[in-house]
Amino acid sequence: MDLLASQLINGLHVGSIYALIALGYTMVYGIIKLINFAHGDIIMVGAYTAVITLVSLNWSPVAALIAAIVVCVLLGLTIERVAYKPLRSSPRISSLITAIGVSMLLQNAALLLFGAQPRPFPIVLKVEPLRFGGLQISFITLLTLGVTALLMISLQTFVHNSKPGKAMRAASEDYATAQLMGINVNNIISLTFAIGSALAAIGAYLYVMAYPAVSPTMGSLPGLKAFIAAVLGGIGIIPGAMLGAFVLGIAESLAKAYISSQMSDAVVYFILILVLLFKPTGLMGKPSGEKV
Amino acid sequence: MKKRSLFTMLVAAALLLSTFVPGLAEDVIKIGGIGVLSGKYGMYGLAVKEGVDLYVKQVNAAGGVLGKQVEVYWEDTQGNASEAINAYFKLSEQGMVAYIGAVLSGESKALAEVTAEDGAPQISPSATDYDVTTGRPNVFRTCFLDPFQAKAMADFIANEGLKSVAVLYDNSNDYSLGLFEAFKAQSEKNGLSVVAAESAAFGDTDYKTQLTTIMNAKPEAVFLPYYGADAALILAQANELGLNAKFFGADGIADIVELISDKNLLTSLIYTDHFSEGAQSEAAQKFVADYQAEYGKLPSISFSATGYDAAQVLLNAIEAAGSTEPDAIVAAIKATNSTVVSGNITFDDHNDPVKSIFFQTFDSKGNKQFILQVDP
Repeated sequence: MDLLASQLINGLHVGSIYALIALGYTMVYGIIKLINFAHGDIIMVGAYTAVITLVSLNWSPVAALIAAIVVCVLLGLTIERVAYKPLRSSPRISSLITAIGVSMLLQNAALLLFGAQPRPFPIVLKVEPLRFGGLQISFITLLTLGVTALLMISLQTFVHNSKPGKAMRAASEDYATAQLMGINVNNIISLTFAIGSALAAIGAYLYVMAYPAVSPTMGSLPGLKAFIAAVLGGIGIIPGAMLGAFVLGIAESLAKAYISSQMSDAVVYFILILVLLFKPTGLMGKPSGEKV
Repeated sequence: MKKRSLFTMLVAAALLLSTFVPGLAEDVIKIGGIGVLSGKYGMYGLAVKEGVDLYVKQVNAAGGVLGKQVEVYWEDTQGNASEAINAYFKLSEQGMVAYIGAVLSGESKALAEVTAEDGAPQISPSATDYDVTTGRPNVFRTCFLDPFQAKAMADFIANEGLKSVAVLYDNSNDYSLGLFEAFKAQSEKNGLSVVAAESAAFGDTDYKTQLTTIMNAKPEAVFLPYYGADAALILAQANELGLNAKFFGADGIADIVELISDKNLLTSLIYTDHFSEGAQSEAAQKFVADYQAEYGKLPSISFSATGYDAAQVLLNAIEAAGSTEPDAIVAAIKATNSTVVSGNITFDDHNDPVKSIFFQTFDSKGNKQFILQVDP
């Protein structure tokens, strides 16, 4: 019983990191219908920023986190301006290919700058695991879960109650009409990228705290898994990304523990296929009506 | 027009000269050095090269071999098997007597394929794959093989009085899988109970699920047949989960030092290596001192020692054979029974060395600590 509980907690931990990343995918997709494949590599940039400021510049952990957020936000904004904005009116496939190109560019630039050898992430927080009866939970797991839940709630409140949030939803519903209603859609899209990248930076920090190795390709796998989580939950829907990520994390963990490590990805993708067969718009997606 | 004829003449002159060079240099024994000297695995080849060059320098200073000076011609394969073959063809035209290399198992196999055709003596200081020497009487190595170190580790754990072991291994990696199978077989033979054997897929970063299962089985020892990068992640996560056990690894784990921030975790890790700077033998201590004097650093990658040994075995064999005939050299290498820096060395039927193994751990600052040398 304790074993099952521990494995569920492991799954929740992985899931909450996927969730933070998935939020970035889902927000961008919700508004400009672009799958931003470079999102995973923004995580890598955030992790490198954190490790360099912490180790080489000797900054405090909080300063390093802020640095990572700032660098990721600037990077996200630049990518949007340089690579995606000029293609906004071109076919969607062009933007998609460009996104893959940006991802490759970031990975190879990091390979050139930092080399292939992974860098260890220093210990920023040393707290003994907490015990609840026979159950043992690491502090990083609790922290990750807490931060993710908090950010998701704030994001949901922001999108539903604030003015820029309403503008975001308007732009996601109908891009052209929102523009006609006096919403500066360009700024809204930039804001979306900024928020998504900031979340990626926080995700990166929590990720390397749990898995203390920073390497140029570190972002691709969590990026891919988060993307799948976003699709599973219903891409474009914020609580959906969160739900999808938790389902994915727990499924992965339980498959590894009770079926086999080699089969865990197969199990996860099988779940994805099943869900999409019966609910093509994802777990929380609403059936899309034909637009006339 | 005139320019071109001048150029043609120069080329012709250069070609003419190059045909004379071997004739001019007949009082030199040429050894080909082939291996990865750049890129991701370049550090291993460079360690080998430093060891070989050091020994050759010492031999030359003492009068050389058969009264001749020895010269090593290095070719970089970039870790590429076809480059290893190209390097062989390039070097063999220049009249090499024997070859040291290659460094990685894959390129060594490719090189062995071509040297076997010509019967040219070849010694790899670092190819741990079993098949490198199979069916090739001219190919030798001065490093031990993976099953050997896994068995030695299972014996070590049993001797420590530990009763239960768990293994976490990478199912998609030959190195990890080979170590796991040999370790499991020997552990069972030694009466250890293997309470958990968990595998992970290539490129995984999350090992907590497997570690939770292992923790639940309460092993006293955990064997991790991994390279340093993965092992660093595993140790950090095991610590996060509160898994208290002794960890054991093989030679590939040695580079973990630069890859882990919490050096304290390394004190619970013991691994097998080809050589230790702390080895007690006279030859080993002399090697460490000479190496430090030559390169200004410690021989921290053990392949510098096996490279030094490869050069020693080869040059001793040439001296013993009394000629540079390939067959005579091969027979003399086969008959080797000498003390080199990584212990005593003889070759078995499969041309694998029967030699010493070193157990090492780390202190809380990440410095390697010598524990034990086990001789055959």
